[in-house]
Amino acid sequence: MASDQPLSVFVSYSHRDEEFRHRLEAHLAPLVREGRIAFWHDRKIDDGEAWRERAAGHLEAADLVLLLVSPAFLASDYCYEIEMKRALERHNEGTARVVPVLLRPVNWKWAPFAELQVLPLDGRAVTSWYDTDAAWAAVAQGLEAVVDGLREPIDSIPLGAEILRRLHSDGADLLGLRKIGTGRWHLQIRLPNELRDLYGTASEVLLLAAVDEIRGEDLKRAEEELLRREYDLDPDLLIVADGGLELEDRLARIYQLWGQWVPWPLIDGTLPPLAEQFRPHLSAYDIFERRLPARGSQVIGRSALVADLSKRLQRGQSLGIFGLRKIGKTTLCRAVTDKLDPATRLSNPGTGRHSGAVTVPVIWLDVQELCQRTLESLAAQLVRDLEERLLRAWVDPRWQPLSGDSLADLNRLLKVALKQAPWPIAVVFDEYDLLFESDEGDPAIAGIDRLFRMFRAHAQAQEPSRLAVVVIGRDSEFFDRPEMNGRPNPMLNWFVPRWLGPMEAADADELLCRLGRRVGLDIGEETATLARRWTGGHPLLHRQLGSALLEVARGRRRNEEHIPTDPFCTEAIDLFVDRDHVLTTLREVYFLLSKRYPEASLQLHQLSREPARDLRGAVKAAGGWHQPAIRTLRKFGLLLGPPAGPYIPELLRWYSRTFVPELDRMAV
Amino acid sequence: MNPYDWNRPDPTIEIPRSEVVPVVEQLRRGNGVVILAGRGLGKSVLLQQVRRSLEQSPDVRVILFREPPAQQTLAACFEDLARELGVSPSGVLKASDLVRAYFDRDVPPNLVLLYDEFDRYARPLHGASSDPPGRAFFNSLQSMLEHEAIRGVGILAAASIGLYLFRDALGSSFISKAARQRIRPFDRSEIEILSRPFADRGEPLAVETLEALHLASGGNPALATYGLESLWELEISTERDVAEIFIDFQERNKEFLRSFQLSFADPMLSEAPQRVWDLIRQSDGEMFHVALQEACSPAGPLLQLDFGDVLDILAASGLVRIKGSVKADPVVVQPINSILSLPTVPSAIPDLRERLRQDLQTLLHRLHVSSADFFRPGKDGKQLVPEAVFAAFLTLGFELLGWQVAREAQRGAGRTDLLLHRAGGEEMAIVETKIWGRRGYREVHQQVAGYWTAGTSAGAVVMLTDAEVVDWPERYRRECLVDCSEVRLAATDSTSPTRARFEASSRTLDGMSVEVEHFLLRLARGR
Repeated sequence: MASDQPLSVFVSYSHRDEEFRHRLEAHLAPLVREGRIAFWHDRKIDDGEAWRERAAGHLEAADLVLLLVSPAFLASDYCYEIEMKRALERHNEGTARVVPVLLRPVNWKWAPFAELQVLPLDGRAVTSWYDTDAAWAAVAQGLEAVVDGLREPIDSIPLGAEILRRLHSDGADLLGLRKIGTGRWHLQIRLPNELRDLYGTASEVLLLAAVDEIRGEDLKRAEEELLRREYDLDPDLLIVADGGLELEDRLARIYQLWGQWVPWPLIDGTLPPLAEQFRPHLSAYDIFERRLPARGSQVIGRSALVADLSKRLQRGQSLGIFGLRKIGKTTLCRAVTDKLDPATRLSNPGTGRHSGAVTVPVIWLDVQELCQRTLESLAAQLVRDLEERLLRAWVDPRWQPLSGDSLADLNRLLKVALKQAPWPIAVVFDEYDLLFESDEGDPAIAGIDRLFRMFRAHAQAQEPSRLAVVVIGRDSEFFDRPEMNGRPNPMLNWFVPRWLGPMEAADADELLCRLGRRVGLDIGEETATLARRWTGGHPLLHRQLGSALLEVARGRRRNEEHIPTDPFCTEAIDLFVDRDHVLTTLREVYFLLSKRYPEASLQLHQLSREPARDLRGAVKAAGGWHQPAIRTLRKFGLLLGPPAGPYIPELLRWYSRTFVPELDRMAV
Repeated sequence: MNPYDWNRPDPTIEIPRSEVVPVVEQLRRGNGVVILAGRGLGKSVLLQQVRRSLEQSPDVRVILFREPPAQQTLAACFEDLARELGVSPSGVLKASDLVRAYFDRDVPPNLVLLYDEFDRYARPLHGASSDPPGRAFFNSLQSMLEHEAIRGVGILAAASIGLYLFRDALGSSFISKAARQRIRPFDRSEIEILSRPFADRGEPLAVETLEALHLASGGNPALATYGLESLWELEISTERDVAEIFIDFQERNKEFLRSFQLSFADPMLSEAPQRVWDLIRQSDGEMFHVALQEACSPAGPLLQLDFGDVLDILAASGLVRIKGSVKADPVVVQPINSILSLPTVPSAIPDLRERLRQDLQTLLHRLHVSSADFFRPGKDGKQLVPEAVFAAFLTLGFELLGWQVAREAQRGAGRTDLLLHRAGGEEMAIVETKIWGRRGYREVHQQVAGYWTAGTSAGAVVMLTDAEVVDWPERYRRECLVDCSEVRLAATDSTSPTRARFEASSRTLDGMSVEVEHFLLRLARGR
C-alpha cells in the first residue's frame, strides 16, 4: 500500500442507518480532504448500474472496511452474510482491516467480528452516549489511528523494531498489535513461561509503546484497554516503552492511576531483557493493597460456591448473600454473574471478545450509586438497565413507557421481557440494606415493599421461576420481619439465604502465595499458617497481612529473586495489627455487633478472653453451637466451627483484649 | 503591611506540608482519602497544597468544594457536583452516569474532587438520630470510584471528629475504604520558616521567641500565625511578649477555643475524647489500656469510639504525641504544650503559699511529662532551651490557672522572674527559674530575696537540669542554700516528678522574712 495514496474505505451499512453514515462521513471529512482516505459506499453507484458487482469490486479493493453495526445491520442478510463475511475473510488474510462501528446497542457477542476492536473504543454504541457528537468524534479519532496504523507499521520506527527484536530474544510472542494514535501502539504479548511462573502473571500482558514521550492520557487509555480485555490480559500489569529519555522518572511524575507498571526504557537504542525490568518494578507496587472488588482472573477461590449459586440462579431461585463488609460478597456475586452473563463482566458491556453463552442476563444495581433515594428513581433506573440489557441481548421488547409511573413501567417491561426472553433474568441489588435501613425506623426508600411485592409476583408467576432477585448485604434483618408497612413482608420465605464467611484455608493460602509471588515474596508454610490463625481467612485482612509482609521484606531485600517470608512473619504481625485498614475493619465488626447483635457482641467478648484450648468447653457452657448468639457469630464467620475450630481468629481476640474493657467494667 | 492574617484560609506564607505526598499517592491509586485534623491544623491549606500539586499535571482536573450546599440533601449534593462538572443532572440517576457524562467530553483524563468541611456533611439534620445526608452522597461517590467503567477519579475529604459520625450512624463504605491521613502540628523549624518575613525586614526573631511561640501554639498553624501576626506589630519582641499575646488570645478568641474544643470533644457526640484527654493531662506520659478502655466505655450519645480512635482524634487535634504503637501497654502518650492543652483548673486552696505550691507542682508535672518540648539541638546533642523560655511557659501556665502575672516585670528579654498575684488580691508571689550550672544558679535564693517586698507572701524557685547530678539535693543545699537561716527538706508526693523540695528561709537587708520553696526537677531528654 503506497503511503502517498489515500486508503480505500468501504462502508457496509443498512440503508435504515443512512443518517448515521452521513454523520460518519461528516466527521471523517478532514481525512478525505487531506487525501488520507477515500470513501466508497453503495450510494455512489448510479442508478441502473450493476450495483452488486460494483460493490463487490470495491469491497475487494478496500484497505479498510467499516461495519456500521445496528439491529438493522445484523438483521440484513446482505450486510451480514455477504459483505461482512467477505470483509472478515480479507481481514483474516491480512489484506484488509475491518473495524465495526457500533451505532445502536446490540448484542453482537456471537457475531463473527466479536474478536475485533470496535469503535467507539469504550464499546458504548453511539446512541448510548449522552453527547452523540462526542461519540462521533471518538469514532473519528479511533479511525484516524487505524488509518495511521495502516500507513505506518510499528517496525518502520526504530523503537518498534527494537521491541520486536527484544521480544523475540526474550522468548516472548507478539500476539496482537494495534495502533491507537499517532506513534502509539498497544501490543499484546505472551510472556515466556519462566517469567510468568516466577511472578504469577497471566500469560498475556499489554505493552504500550510510543514513539515520543508517554502522556497521562496514553496510560489511562491503556488501563481502559486492560479493563476491556480483563479476561485475556493480566489486569494488573502494564509494560511501557517510549522513545524518550528517563522513562521511569517521567512515569513517576505523570498523574496516573496505574500501579504495577514496568518501564521498559530504550538505552542507547537497546531495550534491556524484560526479566531485569520485572524484578525491581513488580515488587515496588503493593498489589495486596488493591481495594477494588476482584474480577476475572483476580478472583481467587470459592469456586464451589460460585458453581452452586450459578446453578440456583439458572433455576430462577432468588438469593440473599449476607456477610460482613469486605468479606468478598460483591466479588463472589460478580464471579457468578460474570459466568452467567459474560456481557456484564466487561467494563463496557457489549465490547471486546468473551467466550461462553448467556444463560441468565443480569441487571446489576449498586444501591449506593443512586442519586435519589426514591422508589420512582430506583424503578426508573431498573427500567433503563433492563431495557438496555434486553436490547443488547437482541431482544426488542417493543414497548413504550406510558404511565409516567416508573414502577408501573417496570412491571410492564418485566412482563414483556419474561415472556420474550429465552432465559430467566436476574436482578441484583448490591448493598441492599440501604433500600431499607435508616436510623428512624422507616425504610430508607418509602414504598420499597411495593417493588419487592411486584418482583415476587413475577418470580412466582411461573414454575420454575423465570425471575431471580439477588440481594447482597450485611444481614437478613429485613427478611425476617413479618410485616412491612403494615402488610405482609414480601421478602419473607422467598429468598435462599447464604452467609458468607472467611475463605477456606486452601483459598486463603493461594491468595497469599499468588499475590506474594507477584511482588517477590516466597510465602512459606509457617507464614501461611500464621496468617490463617490471625485473619481466619478474611480476604481483606489476609491481603493486609500480605502487605505487612511486603513492608518488612522491603527493609530486608537483598538481591534475591524471591524473599522467603517465614523468618520474619512474626515481625509482620506487629505491623499488621497497627494498620489503619485492619483496625477499621475490626471496629466495623465490633460496632455492628454491639449495635445490632449485643448478645453476640458480649459472647464474642467473653470467648475472646478464653484460652484457645478451652474454647470448645466455653462454647458448650454458653449453650452450644445452636445458642442464638453463638449462631450469629458463626454466621458472620467470627467463630469458626469444626473441623478447623472452634476458634476465633487471633486478630479478633487481640482487638477484644486490647480495646474492649472487661465485662464487669463495661456499660452495655 | 502585616504579612500574617491568622483568619485567612489561604495564607500568604505557607509551609509546604509533607502530608501532601502520601495524600497525592493515594489519590493516584484511585482511592478515597480522608484528612483528619482539629481546628486550626491547616486542613484547608493542605487541600490547597494538594490541589496545586495535582494541577501541575495537565492530565488532572481538580474541583474543590469548600462547603456543603445550603440545602443539605442528597439531590443538592449531586446538583453541586453536576454544576462543577459542567454536566446536566437532569435524568441522571446514578453518580457514575454523572461522571461518565463528564468524561464523554474533551476533558483531562483524571478528576479529583476535594471536599472541605466534611464534618458538615455528616451532621444529622433532624435531631441526633437521623441519617446524615452526606453519608449517602459519599457512599455514592465511593461506588463510583469502584465502578468498573470509571478510572482516573480520586476523592479527598477534610474532617475532624464528625468523620466518626459517618462510620457510626449506619456505616459508611467511603470511610471504610478511605485511606486516613493526620495532619501534624508545625515543628520548630517550620515555625522558623513561617517567621521569615521578620528576617526579611531585618528583624529576625530571637531563638527564645521562636521557642516560646512553638510552646505557646503547640505548633498549631493558626495559633502560630496569630502569634506572628501580633509580634509583627511590636517594635521589639521577646519570649515574654509571646506569653502575653497568647494570654490575650484566651480572652479575645473564645469562639476559636470553643470550636477547637468541639472539633475533638463534642459532648453531643461522645464524652470519651474529653475523658481520655483529662486522663492524659494528669498522667505521667504513660497510659495503661485498662484506664483508656474504661474512659471509652460506655459509648457516647452518638458515637462509639475505642481508645485507638480517641488517641487518633487527640493526635489529629495536635494535643498529644503518641510514641510507638497504641497496642503497647502502657501507651506512651504525651500532651503537646500549648494554650490549648495547659492545665486550667487551679488549686482551690485560699492560702496563697499553698496555692502557689500546688499550681506550680501542676505545671512542673506537665513540664516533666512533656520534657521533649524543652530541648533543642545543640553542639553536643540536645540541650535545654534557655531559662527565659521556661519562664514564658510558666507565665502562660499561671495565667491559665487564674493568676495574674505582672506585665511590667516580664517585658525585658531574658528576664526569668515572675511576679504573680491572684485576681483581686493584693498579696504577691515571686517565681524564679534557673538551670543548674548556668550563670547565677548559686545565687537564686538571694535573687528572689532581692525582689521581696512587703506585699510578697510567697516565693518559689524552679531549678532544672537535664543531667544526672550525683547527690543533687545535697549539692543543691550546699551550693545554693548555704546562706539561708533555715533549710528543710520537705516531703514530696511519691507521684511528684520533682527530685526534691526545700523550704528555705532568710531575711532581707531590711529585716523582712523571706520564705522560698525550691523545686528541683530533672528533665529527661528521651521522654
